[in-house]
Amino acid sequence: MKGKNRAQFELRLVEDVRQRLAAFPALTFRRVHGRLYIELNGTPFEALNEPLSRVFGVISFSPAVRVKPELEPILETALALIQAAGPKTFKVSARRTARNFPYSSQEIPRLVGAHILKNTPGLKVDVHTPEVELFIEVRQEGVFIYDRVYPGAGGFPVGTSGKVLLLLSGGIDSPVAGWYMLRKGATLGAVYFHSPPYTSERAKLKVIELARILSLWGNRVRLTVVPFTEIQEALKARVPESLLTTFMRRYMMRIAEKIAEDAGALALATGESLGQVASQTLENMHVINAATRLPVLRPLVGLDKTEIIAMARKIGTYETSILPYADCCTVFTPERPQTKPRLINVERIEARAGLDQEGMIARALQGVEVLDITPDMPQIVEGLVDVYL
Amino acid sequence: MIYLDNSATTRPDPSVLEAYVRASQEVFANPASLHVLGARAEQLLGQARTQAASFLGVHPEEIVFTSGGTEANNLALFGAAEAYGGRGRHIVVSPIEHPSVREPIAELRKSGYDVTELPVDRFGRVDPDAVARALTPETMMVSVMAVNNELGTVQPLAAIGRTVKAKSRALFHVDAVQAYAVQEVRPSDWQADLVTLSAHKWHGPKGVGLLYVRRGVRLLPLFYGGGQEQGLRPGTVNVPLIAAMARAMRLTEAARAEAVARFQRMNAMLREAVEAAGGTVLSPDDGAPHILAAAFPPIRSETLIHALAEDGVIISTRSACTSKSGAPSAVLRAVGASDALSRSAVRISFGRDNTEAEVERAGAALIAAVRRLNAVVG
Repeated sequence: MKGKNRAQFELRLVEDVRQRLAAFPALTFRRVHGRLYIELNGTPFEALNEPLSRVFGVISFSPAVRVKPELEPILETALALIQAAGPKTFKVSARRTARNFPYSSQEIPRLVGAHILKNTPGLKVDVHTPEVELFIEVRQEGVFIYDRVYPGAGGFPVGTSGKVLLLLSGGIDSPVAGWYMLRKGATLGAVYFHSPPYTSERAKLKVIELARILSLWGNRVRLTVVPFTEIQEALKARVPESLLTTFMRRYMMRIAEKIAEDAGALALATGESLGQVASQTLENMHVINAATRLPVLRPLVGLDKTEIIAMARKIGTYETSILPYADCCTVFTPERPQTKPRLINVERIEARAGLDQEGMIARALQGVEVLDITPDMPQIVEGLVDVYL
Repeated sequence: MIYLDNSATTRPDPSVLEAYVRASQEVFANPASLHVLGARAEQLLGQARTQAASFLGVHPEEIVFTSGGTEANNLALFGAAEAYGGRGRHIVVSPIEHPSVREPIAELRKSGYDVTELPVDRFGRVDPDAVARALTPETMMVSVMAVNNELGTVQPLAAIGRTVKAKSRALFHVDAVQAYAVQEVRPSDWQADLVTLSAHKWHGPKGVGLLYVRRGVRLLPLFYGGGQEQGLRPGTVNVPLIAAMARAMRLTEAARAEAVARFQRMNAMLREAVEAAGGTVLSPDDGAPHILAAAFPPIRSETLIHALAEDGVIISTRSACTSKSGAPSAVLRAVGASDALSRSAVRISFGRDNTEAEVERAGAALIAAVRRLNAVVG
């Protein structure tokens, strides 16, 4: 990434990191040439490990010791780090961008390596597969020594790629799809279709919790809960049972499109994976997609269920997703769903079914509940904390 | 009454009881029920779990609520033995553990486990190098308590944990029941896999505690039922009691720094009193500040505690759990205390509601009682 984009990207990233680490007031931040230095000022590094690993746009991070640009403190610190790690084999790598430092990036590893070997009996150098690799960076802003490199979450900082509206159910797939969109830098909105009494309050709470877990990765997720009972009941009464899911999904797309337009989102996202269930055949995707003009992004389209489950575990949504509450897609599931619907037939049936499409959608939109979900527990439980905890 | 037996149990904080009563009346539903009241109970439980986890710096799903420290210790030991017995059948333990660790290990020994008791110094302190020597490829578990309940000895857990993890595949269990009142408990600081807490030791209700079970550690439950607490602790979850415990944790965290400073001053005052009375301090100088063990031979422990109770000062003979048995304290025996000292050992332990004025009166009462009894006995 170059020029102005890069600068904006970095500023956004620094802001994200600050926000994620807001609970640690002692930290100070400094951005130099594509790097962010966080001075711990007494904060334990371990406490930052997890929140940092959730910031998209971070390639890697390391706890480093900064020393004076002199040989003696470099030797001492390098030795202390190696002895604390206690490996059997090690390697020293160095990089020097501060030209005024008297030793070159070839000389530093030799000097440091010799010092460590002399003072640590039994330790060996292994340049190919060392147990511990010690990095020494001599830069204008200081000399940094570190032996651990933690992988970051990768991707782009949240908010650098525009806004996407996720169709979030209580299942395993859609939260993972949302995570992939967040990782690519999208700001995430989510829409959940709620059908009381067919779906319970607990199913809604489960979705709120899923949105909260996503917000750990994206700071904030605006969740729109859409009342869907009227539409489901009308479809059940008026369309062939085998196409029920197809019609339902078309209505969801229409409603989501309106919400997306209001929110300035330029695309919808779903957790669909090609061929995974009857409503996710290519034919069904085609028919369902035709109900909206917005692009429908399907980041899981090529993944297998086992891969999706592994991702759900990794991002922390799996345990919540498998809680056994019915969602609106399972309540009205047809016994023999149509796997190869044709758009022309579906449109014909829809036109003849005598459904009050405009009215039903308008009423659903009027009844929405909008929740701004943040990593702290959602608003509904606040009362509990004050009174009982 | 000046209550100085807080290591046996503490007086529950009024706001902890209030949380319990209110939650019992208002959030009484079963958190496993599908209806909206059940959902509310589940939310309260989830929030209590999150709160408890945040104080320990762990994940909410790593917390298993139990009926207290004894159950948590039993679950840690038997649960791990069931799940990891195949790894090896060797357990390493300090000789000054609480009976709720010692007895399960004695049972495991009967079923074929090899048990190594670590050598300790005269305060019961474990040497991390001794742990290194005790570890074998067969070692399944190392269990060392954070703060001893009779002496207040603080174990070097970070060093022990480092040794255990560097040199073996064993699980590391820490009974931190006496520690949480006076020190931060962060399982990651000790590289512990299992950590036991109990609420009533820090002004929470009795009958509730928790076991921290590190992610990836698999235990088998002690009993079976409806799968609550990730299957590790089945039975209808006592949400109000757990909420009260979470509140007690919050209060403990908020009050700890001030309380510890006060306990240190009170500890110093009582040490002077022990000296003035001609007694021997059994606790280490660098022990936990809320526990002070001392002995005044030839006066018998029981005689002294009854004499002090008459003056309105409540202290105890070593740990409450074993004090009725009449057997010499296993802890004192393990640290090599003489019979004369063991027979006359008493424990004084502070809680957050003790004042320095109280401790000053208690010190004076102690000196007076010892002088009076010495005149009779000696």
